Amino acid sequence: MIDLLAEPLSYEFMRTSLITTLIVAVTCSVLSSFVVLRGWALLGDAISHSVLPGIAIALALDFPYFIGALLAGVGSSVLIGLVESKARVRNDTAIGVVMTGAFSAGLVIISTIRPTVDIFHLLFGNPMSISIQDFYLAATVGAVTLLLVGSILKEIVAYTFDPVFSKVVGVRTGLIHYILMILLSLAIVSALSTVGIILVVTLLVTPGATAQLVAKNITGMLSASVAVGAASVVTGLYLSYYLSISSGGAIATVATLIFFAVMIWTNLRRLLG
Amino acid sequence: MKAIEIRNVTLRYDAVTALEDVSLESPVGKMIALIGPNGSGKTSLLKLLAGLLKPTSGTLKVLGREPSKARGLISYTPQREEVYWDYPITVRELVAMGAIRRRGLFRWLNAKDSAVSEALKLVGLEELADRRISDLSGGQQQRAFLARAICQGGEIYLLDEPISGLDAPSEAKLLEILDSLRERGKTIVVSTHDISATLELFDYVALMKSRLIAYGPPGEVLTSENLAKTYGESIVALHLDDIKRIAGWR
Repeated sequence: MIDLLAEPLSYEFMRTSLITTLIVAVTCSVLSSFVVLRGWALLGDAISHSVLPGIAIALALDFPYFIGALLAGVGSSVLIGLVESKARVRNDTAIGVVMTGAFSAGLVIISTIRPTVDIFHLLFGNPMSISIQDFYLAATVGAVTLLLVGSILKEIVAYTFDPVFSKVVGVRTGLIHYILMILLSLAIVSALSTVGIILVVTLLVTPGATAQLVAKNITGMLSASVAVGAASVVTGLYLSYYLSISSGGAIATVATLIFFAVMIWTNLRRLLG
Repeated sequence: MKAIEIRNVTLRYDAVTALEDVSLESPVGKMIALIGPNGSGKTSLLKLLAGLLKPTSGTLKVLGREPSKARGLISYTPQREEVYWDYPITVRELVAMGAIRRRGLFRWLNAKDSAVSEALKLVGLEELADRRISDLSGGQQQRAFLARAICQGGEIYLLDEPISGLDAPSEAKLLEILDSLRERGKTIVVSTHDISATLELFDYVALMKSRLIAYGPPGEVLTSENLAKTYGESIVALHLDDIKRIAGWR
């Protein structure tokens, strides 16, 4: 058993992959709690799809891809708000329009200027080919996220619980909102090389959704969410190593299975009193 | 100084006119009810007073200031349905949000705080302070909201539909707390559908249908003619029954 667990770790790439993906999972899981509580699951999906044109333009103009991705991610959240108010459509419609529009723009740009880029890697990640730069990016984003969320936790809680009351009482709700949008975009960018644009949504939604089934308070929810995210990453990566299956896919599948297991367990417990 | 002073306020969203040429005022320490059907502009008026919206034309003053410059003095309580009651926080944490500006960075909400305890006691929820807000009944949720506003320590309380959906005992309890706040000199503005409750307790009633149909003491304003203008003829009979019933009780 010990050997089974230790063997993959004898490879440098596996160690880098595991630690980087773990950091990404912790970052995403912390944000996941607020994504779930504020009802932002679809928005997380939209931001993650919208980073694609940012990456494409960055590749074309040859500047760091995470800057392009960050600008596109935050830009999309602004654009969604704008479409919602100017076109007078519902939030999910605005998200649908912006998300698919941005994603297809990304595909078009990539196919015209850099046909050699492996789109498959961007979409689904590849934890087995993580570079040390990816690790540094994930570690920086993780540290910034934990520090910011830790220092303004009560403002984030107040805003995500009741934005209108918070604004009147004097919380700078606009600032809090855009801090969260920036953190979400950063988390997505740091997850690009590990789980990719599509599957990062699992890490932004499922750990928080699972944690909410069991948590009694907000710190309990944050910890449970991180535990689910971390367990999914470790289990998923080992499964991927031994079964030669897609690592991003394995991580996302494990997270989903944990969610359903906890959901069934909490419902059974309630039924049996 | 007037608690609220609204002069010729009009509010338009694109093609929709939410409020048209509304003027009303009240001294400090009164209870004011905004009454009207859905879409009559009650919530819009509360949001204008809270400084969350800007009027298309006209002026609003709260305690002699622009609403956006009176932030600490105004508390705004949205309709109960607007927040997610499964949010994993305790009653004490919810109430402490009222005092959020007085606490520094890194400080969490559940620290012991005399303002929080006092507010909880005033609304009769001190026993439930450490329970999750999802465990509360509708009436208790509304009282927790009110405790949050009290904890904020403002002078003007704006409450959107605080008594809708409450059973009679919960409603009575909530109105009793509002009454005690008025005795302490607070000004309270609520929107409501419930005409019977307003008859006895409120100082002023504003009947609204985008325009202000009538404004004044309940006995003068709640005439069958005014109610017909606000709700349409067919519904008035129903409300009049309500009013007669209340009159009979007294």
